[in-house]
Amino acid sequence: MPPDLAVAPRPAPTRARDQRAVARLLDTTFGFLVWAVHLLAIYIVQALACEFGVARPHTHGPAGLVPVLLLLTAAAACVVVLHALRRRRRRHEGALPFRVAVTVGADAIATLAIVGQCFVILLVPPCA
Amino acid sequence: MYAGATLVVLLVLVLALVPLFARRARAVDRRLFLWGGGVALPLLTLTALVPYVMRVGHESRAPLPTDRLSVEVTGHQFWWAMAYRRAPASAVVASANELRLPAGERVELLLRAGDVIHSFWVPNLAGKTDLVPGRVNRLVLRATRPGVYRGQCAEYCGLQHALMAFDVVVVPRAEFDLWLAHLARPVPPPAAPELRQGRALFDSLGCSSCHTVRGVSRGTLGPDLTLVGARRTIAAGALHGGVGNIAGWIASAQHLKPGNAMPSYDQLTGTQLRALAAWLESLQ
Amino acid sequence: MTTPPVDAAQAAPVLHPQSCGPDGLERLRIAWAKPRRFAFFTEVNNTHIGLLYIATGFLFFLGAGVLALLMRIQLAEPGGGFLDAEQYNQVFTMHGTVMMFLFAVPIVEAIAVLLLPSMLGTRDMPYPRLSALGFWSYAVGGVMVFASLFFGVAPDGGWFMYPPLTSLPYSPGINTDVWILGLGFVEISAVAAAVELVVGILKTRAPGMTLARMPVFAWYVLVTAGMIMIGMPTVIAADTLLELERAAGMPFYDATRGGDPLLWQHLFWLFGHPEVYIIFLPAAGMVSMILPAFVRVRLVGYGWIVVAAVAVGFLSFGLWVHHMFATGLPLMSLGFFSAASSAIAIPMGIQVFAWLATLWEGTPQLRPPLLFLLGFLVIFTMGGVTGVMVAAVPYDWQVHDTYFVVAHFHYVLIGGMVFPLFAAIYYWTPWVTHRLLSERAGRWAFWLMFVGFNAAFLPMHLTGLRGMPRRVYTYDGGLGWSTLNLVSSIFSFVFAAGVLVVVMDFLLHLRRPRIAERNPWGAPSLEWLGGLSDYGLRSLVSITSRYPLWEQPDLEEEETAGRGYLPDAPTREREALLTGPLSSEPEQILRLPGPGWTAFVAAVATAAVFAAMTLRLRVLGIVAGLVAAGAYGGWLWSLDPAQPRGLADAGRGLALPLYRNDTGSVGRWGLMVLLVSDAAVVASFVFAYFYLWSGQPGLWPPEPAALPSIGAPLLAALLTLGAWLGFELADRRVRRERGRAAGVCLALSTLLAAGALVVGVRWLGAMGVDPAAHSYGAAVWTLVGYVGLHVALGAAMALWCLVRLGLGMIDSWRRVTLDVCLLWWRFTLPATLLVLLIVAGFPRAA
Repeated sequence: MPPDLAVAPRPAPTRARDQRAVARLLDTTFGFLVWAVHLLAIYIVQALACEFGVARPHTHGPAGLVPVLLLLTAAAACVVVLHALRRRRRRHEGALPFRVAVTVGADAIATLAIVGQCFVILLVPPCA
Repeated sequence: MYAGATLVVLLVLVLALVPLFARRARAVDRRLFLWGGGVALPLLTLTALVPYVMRVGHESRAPLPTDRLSVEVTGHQFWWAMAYRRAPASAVVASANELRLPAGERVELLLRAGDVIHSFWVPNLAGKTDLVPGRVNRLVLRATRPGVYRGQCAEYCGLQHALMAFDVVVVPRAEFDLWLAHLARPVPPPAAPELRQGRALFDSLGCSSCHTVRGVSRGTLGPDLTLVGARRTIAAGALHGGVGNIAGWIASAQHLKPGNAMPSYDQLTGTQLRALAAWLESLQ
Repeated sequence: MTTPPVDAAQAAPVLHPQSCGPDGLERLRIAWAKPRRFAFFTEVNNTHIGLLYIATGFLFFLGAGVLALLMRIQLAEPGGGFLDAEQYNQVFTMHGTVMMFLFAVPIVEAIAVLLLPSMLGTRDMPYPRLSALGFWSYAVGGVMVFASLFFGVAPDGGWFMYPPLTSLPYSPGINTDVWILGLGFVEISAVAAAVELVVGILKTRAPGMTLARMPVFAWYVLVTAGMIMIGMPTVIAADTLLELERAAGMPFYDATRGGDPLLWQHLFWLFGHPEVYIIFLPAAGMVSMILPAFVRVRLVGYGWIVVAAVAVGFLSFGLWVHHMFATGLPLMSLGFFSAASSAIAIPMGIQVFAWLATLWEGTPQLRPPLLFLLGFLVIFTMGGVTGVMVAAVPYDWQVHDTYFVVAHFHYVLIGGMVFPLFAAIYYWTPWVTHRLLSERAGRWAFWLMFVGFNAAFLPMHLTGLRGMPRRVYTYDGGLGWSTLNLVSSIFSFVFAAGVLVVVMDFLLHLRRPRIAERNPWGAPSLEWLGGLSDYGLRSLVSITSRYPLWEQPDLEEEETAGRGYLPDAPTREREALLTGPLSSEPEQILRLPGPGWTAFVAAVATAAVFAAMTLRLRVLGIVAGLVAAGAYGGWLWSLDPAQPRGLADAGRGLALPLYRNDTGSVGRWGLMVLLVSDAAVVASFVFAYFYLWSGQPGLWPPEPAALPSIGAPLLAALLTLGAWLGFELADRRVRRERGRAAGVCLALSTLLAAGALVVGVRWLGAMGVDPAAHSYGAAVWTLVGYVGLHVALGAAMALWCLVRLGLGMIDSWRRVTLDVCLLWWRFTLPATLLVLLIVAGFPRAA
């Protein structure tokens, strides 16, 4: 064995490292987690509203359903966009560019998927 | 839509083949590929397509005034029960394996399942809607042109899923009203001796315990046979109508459509079979 | 063990010094040598298991392909008499089932098991025995399911198994049980493989291989494994409920007793749609690995592709309702899922255009693998555009369950998975056998498959638009379907001929001479550095690039000279490096188990238990169950062996611990990942409870007087809390070397957990709901039963730790066992509290 490869002890890694790593990894998918929550939320809100809501003309669903759904959508989109902006800022503070890029890209696609639901909310009769 | 789809496929095909014929390394505009092809192309297609498709097809669920004709369609392994109702209070008139509709009128179908999941599909009139146990699904249909349309079960429902079809016969409104009134009346007593023998066999063989013939029997396990002689097909589209096929079906239902609920009456003599089939055929 | 560290004065005392000389190589070889003869079944190494896994999967592909040909013969002409209705229904059910569950998912996992360790620059998967268990379970279970065809008891309810058709009244035979139990078993092994792929990718990458340098295949597999972890449990949950309905009469899907057939469809498609992407994503990963080798440039848009893969992984879970567009759900619900289905076109477009850009940047060499990749691009794109069509609700109402959809998903699956698979066969065969497949045969195979496929499936779009439904064994000649069907039938045989050419080519190529070079395609990825061998690389190299073989010229020399990590096996045990999940710095020397009978015996015995359940053979079931319990017990007992506290030599001047008792231990990682799947099962059952409620809010419970009491669940919750607390305290005591106090805590924990179980059982009994009478009772019993199982296992774990503590096998250093069991309790406690809250509280609130 060449002398420059002498064995030197190395301290064992600290305790919380792996947990933090998992958290960071999941953070890159933040946008999609919000997307999933949003999809479930509008699906459940709409289903319950139509099932139990005070029916106006039946197909229109209870009053206020559409605004609520739009509000949920806007909120979800805002959360994701803010998250992306934050992470982008962090790139200038020395975070790894690859992870920032993946996070921002994922947030972008998630935002599109969330905002796309506006078509549905605005164009489809809620309870038909 | 098909043209757009073809264009996309051709675009990918051409983009995949060009580098093979022009073999040299070149710097490509990555942004054009990734932003243009990867993001802009699907995004533009979708913003054009999604708002359009979101507005199509609502009429199949449109609310109807309650005084319209509604038909309750119940799927069974492997046949269809139809029950017509003119207005909420009026009597229900049952039939099977054939749906008659007045032309140009919107009709509400109430879809139910008698056993497992089926799916009601008449390709030329509307998309399919499932018949799910425990649920009643609505489908609003409007057939504009008189004619005969083929319908079938579109959800796999067991052994004879393949042989679970029906005809939709669209007729002018007046004709439809006459037909429905005719359907509601008890069948006339048989006139000829052979028909009388047939009718007697219908009772003595136990056909009446499964099949309804208005004024004769009230069985509900099998299709209503009140106007069976007028139907274009029998056994849920498995055979064409006519006295010969009816006789063949009675004698060997299990051979023609194995696993359906009707036993083969292969013990009958030729005369008996002819008489029974002739009486059924006379129900028009 | 003869070579001491050179500079002994400078070095701290380290254990097991490594040698990069020939003696080290010799020990390495012995440690990783394959066992001989009957011991064949004992080998657990990923190369051995991976090859068997792939071969088995491919055999199922051929078998299911033959079933497809049988169907095409039957449908070649109207009123065909080749198969009767019963046979046809079994054949189409088995074709779909085998292709999806026994071919597509297992083979992509198998390829990952075989290739990933080499691509990541390590020696094996992190849990070799788990790979072996997964493989043997799959092989034995799969063969039993397939063999049911020959006894005429094959499943016949369609691969989607919709109840009530598959419920007892309409499917009284064991056909359905074969499907539920056989595939349930195979699905569990798929989850096992996923757990180990996740941990393998995150914890065993080569030093320096950060996430940004990871081979893109690993990204795809990571996403896929994550999807399997969430998706498979939902179908396992659905299977469980169906079997409970069939065997115990609990009405989850029976509408006459408060069940709902659509519950199955929700759960099944929540798995079933991601399933398509579970199959596609690893194939896309292979495409992304093969492409650079044949265009001689780096992949364009690596980061874009990673984002797209992650996006597909998530979005695919939002599409499930698009299999249910015709079920009569409200239009807006359908719309949400229609929009989500359309959104997935964006990440798909990104991937396709990234591959196209790569083609444009390089100089393509049209060898057989690239041919198959081009075929993939074209066919898959067609499947994609028809996918956008069926995502549109009104269009889907027309084409759903017709041959249009058959054509669509065969374009997606054969285009998206089978063509890349054949590219992979041509590409990686020289890696496995050191021999090249024939170029000429490859071209023939490609053109036969490409032409055969398109000519068979393109007409099906039209057949479907003309109204031909799926799953029909016969059709009328007068409907305009006959010619199209005949064309499809003829060309399906052309496609099959192409597959046959590849099979023949593979068999013949084994007699050709070996090739000299390790890397015949000049590929950039790490697996080509060592080729296939028992131990993988001579020494584990450090990575500084995404394309190490192109950009690190010294790599090969460094590896063969043994100047990387772990060039030796000083303890004569198998070893690998454990690295940080993000940074990929070496953290620990992981000692891996060698050959052993445990996994094989456990798999076969478990398969026998499932077979006995299917066939209702009580004695066999009990005997096999005892054997299985013994095997698993022995296995678990052997985990967490004694490891020295000192640091060991890892080579390259690095000393690493042999053991970790913190959050980084592989045991803890494994359970953590498994608990994600478990959480998905709990979520599925909770979903079932609320879904069934939403169908009949007035009947919850059906007798209003029978509201669950509050006192008992409160007590059970307190006892569970106490049991968890006991475990936490035991952990603290053990850390402070206070073994006796820890033992008291553990004993207390066991007792409290047992108490919680007793209280729970009595509560269920006192509630007076019959689980077979109404879906309410069925849902309550399932939820409480499932967390009860967790508490029972938790009690068993406390007992287990107590025994090990008593035997001195747990102390402040050696405490991974305790740590892992504690993790179980940290999951069980909130799950139990949640379930008790729902069951006791919800009927009052609603």
